[in-house]
Amino acid sequence: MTATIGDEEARILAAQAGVALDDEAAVNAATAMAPPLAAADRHARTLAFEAEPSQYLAAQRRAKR
Amino acid sequence: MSADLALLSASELARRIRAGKATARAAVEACLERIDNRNDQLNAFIALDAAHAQATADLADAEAKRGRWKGPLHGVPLAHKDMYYREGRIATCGSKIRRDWVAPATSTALARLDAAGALDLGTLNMAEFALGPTGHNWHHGHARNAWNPLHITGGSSSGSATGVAARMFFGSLGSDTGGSIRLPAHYCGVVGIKPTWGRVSRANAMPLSWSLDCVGPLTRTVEDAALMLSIIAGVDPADPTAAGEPVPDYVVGLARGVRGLRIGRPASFFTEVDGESERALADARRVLERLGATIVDVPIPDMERIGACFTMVMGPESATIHREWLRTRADDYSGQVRARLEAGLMVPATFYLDAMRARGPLLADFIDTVFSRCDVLLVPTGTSPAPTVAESEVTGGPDLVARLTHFPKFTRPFNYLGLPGLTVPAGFSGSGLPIGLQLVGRPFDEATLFSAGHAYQQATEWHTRVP
Repeated sequence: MTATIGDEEARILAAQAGVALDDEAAVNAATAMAPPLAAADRHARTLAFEAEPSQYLAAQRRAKR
Repeated sequence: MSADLALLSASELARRIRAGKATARAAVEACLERIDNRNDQLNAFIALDAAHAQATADLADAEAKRGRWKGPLHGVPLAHKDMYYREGRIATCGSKIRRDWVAPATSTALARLDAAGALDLGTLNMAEFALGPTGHNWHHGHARNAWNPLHITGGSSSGSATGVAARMFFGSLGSDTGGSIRLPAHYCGVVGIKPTWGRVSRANAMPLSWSLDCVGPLTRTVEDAALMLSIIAGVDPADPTAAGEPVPDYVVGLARGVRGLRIGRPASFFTEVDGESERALADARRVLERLGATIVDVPIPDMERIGACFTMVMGPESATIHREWLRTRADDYSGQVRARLEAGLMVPATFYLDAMRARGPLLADFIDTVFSRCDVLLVPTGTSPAPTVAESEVTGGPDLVARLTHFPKFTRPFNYLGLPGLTVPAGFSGSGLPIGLQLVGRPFDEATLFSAGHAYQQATEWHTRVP
């Protein structure tokens, strides 16, 4: 999975979502999301493989004062 | 008498009404006078319902005469962000799309305030669909800061913050997905609490991002925030995500003070603020230390990682909620909100799921790193006092996300982690704009935040200043 989306990929994603993006909006949306996507991609690789959403509530419960 | 009543806290007004020294009707008239004087300039209200407030105030006074008290907010006038549904009333959610939408049911939070005796003056301005950190609104007009109308209120609970600051009402429900209670509280010099995720029911409140949204009050004092949260918090059959954790009496807990409390000073990330905010925080630490707290230096986990995860959650969830309208009514969104929602469509499902499954480990890591060393973390709410409306207007372009995410830099990590955060007025800039500190605590430990914030307010007078 690449973390930097190009114009064409943005338009494909938008088309899949059924949203009519004009070219400028598609490019802007893709450009705007590229840095956070890259950061998220970088961090995802360091996650524990076994992590799962239910651990959130468990962590909340454990951390109560 | 009316003008003086408007300057009281909600708790003090409630005590006076209970003691027969004030009436609900006089309190409503005092609010209406303030609204009449300042709303044209500040644009806090979307819909003021003076007649309804006057009528319900008269009913409250009649009940009081018979010795019937509905609850701890009997006769106290409030007003709320226009995303808390009341059956039969329009809830615009700050949008054009819902300009005429009539709510089919009443939100749990509003119903609980009604049951406690609170009055409702009307619906308040907000960022369109609660998606905006500045207080700009291109459909209903920008809200303006009560301390200087050239400056932003912060958002998205813009009308709530500026109206509480201007003493138009005694408290207000806001909502906080990435900082939307705490940021406007900081910019407008009022108190705001984002409770632990799940602490307050979201039933029949407009959703923005269900894994992050929190309901909470903006008030003049910490005591008022403690009172309002005591009323609205707790389990709700209408919202399966509302936590079953017991709700303590936060007002009684205020007396605990800060003696022996370990207050964390962050070693990194939260240090990136302007000089005036830095001085205000240093002063606040000295006040708390004088009151008996211990200041301890704490390391801070990788906040860039937490910020990236926040974006991966909020983007797809908000885009999912709005997808049908993006398809059918895209032109009815403002440029900024449409662009942000569309950006959420660009996040692959794998990224969203990675961010969600990272939430538990990252929360556990944050707690191990920070809350093993301190009881409360003291950090800034914003990177600076409020900028002007003009300089913070962002309508599109490739730098849109970067420019907007700068505002909630210090608030959104705690939405992702689900931790409670309390913003309290802590000073003013040289140009007279408020600065608010932020106290962050362990999950479901709002009580410690309130006792620390209250102790701080007992020793300072920032919250008593009126614009």
